Amino acid sequence: MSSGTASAQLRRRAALARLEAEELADAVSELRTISGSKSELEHALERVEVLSARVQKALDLPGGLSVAQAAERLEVSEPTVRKWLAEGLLERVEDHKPVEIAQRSVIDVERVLDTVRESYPARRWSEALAAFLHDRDLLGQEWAREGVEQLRRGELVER
Amino acid sequence: MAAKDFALRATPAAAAVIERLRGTARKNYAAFEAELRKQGCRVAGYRLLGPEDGGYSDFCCRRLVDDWRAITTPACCGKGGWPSVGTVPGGRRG
Repeated sequence: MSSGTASAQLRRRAALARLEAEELADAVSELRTISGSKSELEHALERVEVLSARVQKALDLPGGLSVAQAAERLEVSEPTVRKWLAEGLLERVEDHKPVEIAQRSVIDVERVLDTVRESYPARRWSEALAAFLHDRDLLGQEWAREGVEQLRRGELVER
Repeated sequence: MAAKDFALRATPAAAAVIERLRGTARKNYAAFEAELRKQGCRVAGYRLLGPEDGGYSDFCCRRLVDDWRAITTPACCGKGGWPSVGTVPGGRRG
């Protein structure tokens, strides 16, 4: 095995590990929303958060996933991954050839794929994903976030 | 007897933006608000998907003009409702 091949394999494994680390961070964030948590749980969560941050820092390498890796993870074909890349549903790592895909974008798509698969036929998956990403961006706009916060605080005025 | 109009509430942020609307955006928002008062959420636009899992969110979106959008809750014509008004970089596909 050449050193170039070994290096490429190491980068692939590191890219996958970074994906797992990002998912771990998401899981911890979700645990934070559990009500009535005890101090022990808080302590455990803090430790997991520290570990998660360390893993992410250690794996803060510039590499993304290959098209094959993303396809396997998302359980779609490689042409579908390339199609979603071209449509902007998946984010490509800049200046990397062959094409590499940002782990965060794979997680974002993976999160909604289950719902999309249940609700739409395969020919409409791209359309549904695009709608989801659009809506996520819309609700993430500063003015929308401000409105949601005011709503939660009950700050409303009669029209 | 005529049907009673729905009550409509806005967040302070949305109310401030509504006051600053001009031209077609102002005109279209006024028409949208009048429709909401008469027909409630059936004219609130398309249901936005939730940011977590892609399922339906609690919010609907109505395009006013250009990049201007108004977001409402399904309860926009009842207690706790609100419209939020702002612009987005681009239109929704699909």
